[in-house]
Amino acid sequence: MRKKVLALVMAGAMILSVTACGKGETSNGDTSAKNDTVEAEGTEEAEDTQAESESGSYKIAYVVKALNMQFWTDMKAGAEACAAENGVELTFQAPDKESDVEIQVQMVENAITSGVDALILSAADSKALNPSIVKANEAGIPVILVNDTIDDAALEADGGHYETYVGIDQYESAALAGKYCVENLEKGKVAILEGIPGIVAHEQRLEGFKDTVEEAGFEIVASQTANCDRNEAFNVAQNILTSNPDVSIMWATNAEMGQGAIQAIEQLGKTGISVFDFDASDDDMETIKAGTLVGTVDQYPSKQGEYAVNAAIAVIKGEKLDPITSVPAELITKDNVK
Amino acid sequence: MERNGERLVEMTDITVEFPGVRALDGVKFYANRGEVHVLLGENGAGKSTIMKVLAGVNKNYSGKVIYKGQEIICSSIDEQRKRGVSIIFQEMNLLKNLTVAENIFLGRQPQLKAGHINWNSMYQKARELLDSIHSDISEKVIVQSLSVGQMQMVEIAKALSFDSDLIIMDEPTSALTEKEVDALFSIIEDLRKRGIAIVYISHRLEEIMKIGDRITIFRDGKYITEKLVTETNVDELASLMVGREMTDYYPKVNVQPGEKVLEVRHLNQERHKLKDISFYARAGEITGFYGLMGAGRTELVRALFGADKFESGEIFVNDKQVKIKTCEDAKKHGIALLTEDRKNQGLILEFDLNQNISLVNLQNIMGPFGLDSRKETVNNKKLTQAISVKTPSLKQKAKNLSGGNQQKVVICKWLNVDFRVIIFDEPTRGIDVGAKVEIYKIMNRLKEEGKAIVVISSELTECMGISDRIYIMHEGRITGCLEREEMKNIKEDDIIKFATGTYGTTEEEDK
Amino acid sequence: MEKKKINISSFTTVLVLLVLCVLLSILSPIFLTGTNLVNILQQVTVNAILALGMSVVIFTGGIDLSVGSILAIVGVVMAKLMLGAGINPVLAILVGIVLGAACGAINGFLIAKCKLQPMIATLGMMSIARGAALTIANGQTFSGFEKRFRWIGSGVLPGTIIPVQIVFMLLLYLLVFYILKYRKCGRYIYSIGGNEEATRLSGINIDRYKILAYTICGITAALASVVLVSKLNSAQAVAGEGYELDAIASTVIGGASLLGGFGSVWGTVIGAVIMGVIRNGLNLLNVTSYLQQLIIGIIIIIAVLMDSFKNNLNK
Repeated sequence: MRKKVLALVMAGAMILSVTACGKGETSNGDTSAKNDTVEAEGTEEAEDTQAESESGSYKIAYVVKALNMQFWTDMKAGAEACAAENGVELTFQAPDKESDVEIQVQMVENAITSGVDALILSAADSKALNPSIVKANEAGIPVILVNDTIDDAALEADGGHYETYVGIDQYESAALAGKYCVENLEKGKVAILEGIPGIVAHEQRLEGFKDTVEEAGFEIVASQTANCDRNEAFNVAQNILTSNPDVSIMWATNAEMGQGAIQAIEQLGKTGISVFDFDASDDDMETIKAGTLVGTVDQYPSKQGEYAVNAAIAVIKGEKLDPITSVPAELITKDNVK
Repeated sequence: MERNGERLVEMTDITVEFPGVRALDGVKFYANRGEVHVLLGENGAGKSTIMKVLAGVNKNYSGKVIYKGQEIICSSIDEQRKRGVSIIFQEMNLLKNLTVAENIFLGRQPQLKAGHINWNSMYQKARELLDSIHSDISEKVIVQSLSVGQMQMVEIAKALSFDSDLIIMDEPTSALTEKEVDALFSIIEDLRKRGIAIVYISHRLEEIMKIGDRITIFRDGKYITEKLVTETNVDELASLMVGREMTDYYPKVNVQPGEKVLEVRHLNQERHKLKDISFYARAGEITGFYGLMGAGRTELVRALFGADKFESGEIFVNDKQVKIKTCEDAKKHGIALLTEDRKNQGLILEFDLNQNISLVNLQNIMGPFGLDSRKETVNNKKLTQAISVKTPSLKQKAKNLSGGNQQKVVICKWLNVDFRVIIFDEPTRGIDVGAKVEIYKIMNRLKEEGKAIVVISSELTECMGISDRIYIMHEGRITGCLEREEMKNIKEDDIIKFATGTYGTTEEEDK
Repeated sequence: MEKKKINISSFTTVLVLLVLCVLLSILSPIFLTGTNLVNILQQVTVNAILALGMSVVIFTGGIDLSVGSILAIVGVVMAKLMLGAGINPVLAILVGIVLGAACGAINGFLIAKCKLQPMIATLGMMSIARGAALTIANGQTFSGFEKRFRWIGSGVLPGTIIPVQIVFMLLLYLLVFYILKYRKCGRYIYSIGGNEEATRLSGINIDRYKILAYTICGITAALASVVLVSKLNSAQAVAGEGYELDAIASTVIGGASLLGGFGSVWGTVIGAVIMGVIRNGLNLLNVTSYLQQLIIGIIIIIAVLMDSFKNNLNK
């Protein structure tokens, strides 16, 4: 009997400590490096502004979908740099995985309870965050959406609203890659690697590219999901290329899948396939320089972060914003790679 | 009762075949009201089989059954129950997490209009049934908390709730204490007076003589004969059962005891209340441990085998002190234990005999590349043949063997190891007379080989019959010890007094 | 572990595999080509290696939910060593194996000595290892490994077209098969699954062999990580998520009993191949993603039902 109790207590302690650590990361100044140089200053200034907060600088909560990919850490860097420059206190949080919708809801509600001046949100689900947005409205906290869209009709029906959506147009940005194909490549067969089924951003990227090339007469011979996973993309690409050996163009809706496809192509020893993907990760830059990736869409996550923070500050100061704050996306190729 | 003696059921020419074996071959049986009719036979004789036919459990039979004057077909348990035939199996069919009353009325709970259970009525009826058999078990208590004997009472109450005219009891006393057996017998008396016919399946000869009126003997699926209890005796029954002269129930060999092989001094275990246990066992000698259930014998041997922890005490093997913390330690020091529960703790039922036997000593069957299955088969064949394990092949799963053969397989297991002392915990429980003798003979062989043997037994006659010296335990202490010389003069009653703590807890009385 | 039973069990599993292959070769002309078949074997390698260790644990009657996370943290650590500190790949792999073994040993210790339920203990390790991986990686992915290392996951045996990873997988299977059938610890592993208490009372130190089983599982997770990282030329902290379920499914399809005591590693590898064949077929036929999960689930249930149906017949 004693042993059982001890085991239960140990298990409980383990689970508690693990969930406490694992519940998501809050920014404490530990940023990953990309190009932005301000992060070191950002850390110090964030600490300075904490002192300032006692005397009343703005508090902004920035909640995104996850911090396990370069896209989000880049956005974090951009946001924190902007916050530091403007003397605002920023807390940047996210759950472990993009699919942890519930945890994101908890984070948002905690931020509302702790009384922030503005909330910036990259919603993990197009509908599930709506009640939290309404709660923020009721608490008088302005809400700014970034990068991920939500179901506007549903939000309106719930009686909620947000100040602005900061982001790129996923569809148009994907079309940039499509246009490049139409303008620079011969008409050929196209294979597409889709993202996790049901995520709106990926669906828009899929459509954007697909419509553009189909209009110009390219043929889509295969379109399969690889669930945003590099290994799965490798396997799926391998299978697609085996049954469609004359594919000349591949489009992946994120960088991990693009890299997986590149590996598969290399392993199969094939040449002459033009690969495009989305997100402009460090790996993407390397492979563009090496010539195995033709183009990647950079949605400048750090710029998005910066724009979002600026928008938040503007709103707090009382300005009215446009419903959509566009952040420019750009197709990176060997011509303009850094 | 007036109707006592009236023939309730008559079964003639009953044959039951299973693939490959004829379990019953044209047997006959009958039962009269107010009579305890015993069905006697070895394991596999067919006693359970014919009763399962009567109870409606086994519908594949041929032959005639006349019940209450009418020819019937026993096609289902429900139908037979409605006719008034109930059977109480050896492994009882109670749902442990429900109350006594719920078990009695399972599926037939008295209901209120809306289909809800009428709890009051159910509890009241259950109380009445329990009272009618003079049982003080509460009808509201959860079955899990009852002892085996009490569960049996519940089963009887359940049978009565069906207004049964015929109650079949299959090996009812195999797990009961002597007190519980007495209680059961007085209830059977009661039922008999009420005019209920009782069919009592057993192979415990002494009990049969006490409780039975009439005995029918089966052997190998065939009807042998019928005897009135008043006209026969235990010896005759035994030889009828086995088919040969039973001259020696407890074959004993005389061996000069050697040195002390195992000695325990001042062992204490709080969990099972073992207090200050000291004993020894010598080579070439069978040391018996007698006591009632709960005396602590199993707990003691488990502790010294490393299966359970104990607080203090010293163990000596061949006069050298040893530290035993795990079963591995015990095995290394030459101690072997055949557990009380041979099915669940002594064997891996789903594995075949080869695997079960070799498990204890895999080193024995190592070849140049690792475990050698040919060596394994050869080795195991030798062992199983040496003690006559009846099995078509070593690839049989352990669960398919009869109780006696399973026990022999467990013995084979340990014969793989060069042990110095071997402990048998209730080795012949649930085993028929013929197989019992074979096991005693194995013990004798081990005695002659100079091993020390410890036997725990709850059957006093068995304990006295095979042991050279006996320790008696009561509530965690050793209350008595009989040396070789004293064994001849002691009376059974005296031993029972030690076992019930009536003589006091010191050993001075008998030395 | 009755011999007869295993043969019939593997027979049903192979039957399912053959039926699937016949079906797919009718539906897609590409399926039976040499290239595609080799592709399938490559695609199942990582899962097959994970399932190998998982099988050993399942044979003891336990389970290990942390293999995906162990795969991730070993990958990240090896990456940091090779790319960050420039350490020799062989040494890095050794460190990875030791790390995997350590995680497995901790699992085993918690389960054997602290008497935690396997599901709970390995669930904890799953979170801890994943969290550690994410912390060490800090959002980065690592790529650009040297050719010698990448040979394991993407190279072929010199002079042939046989991929190295397949050979590696087969060698591992042979090694574990040998241990399970011809070494004492292998018998003990099965016996513990068959009846733990009876094994203990036969004088066997069951704690030691339980810990061994989970350590083996940790090692195979580490080796699976080596193959994955070298195949993709990249290590990510998010790798391997959900891989434990595929490993368990492969083992169950292969005929092992989740209660322990029964099963063969050869059944497991066929189970892994079945899952790979299904996924490959769905890709070749361009079946939409929503349907894929559904179909995979149904086939798993059919395979397991066939197995338990035939088990009941045996009884």
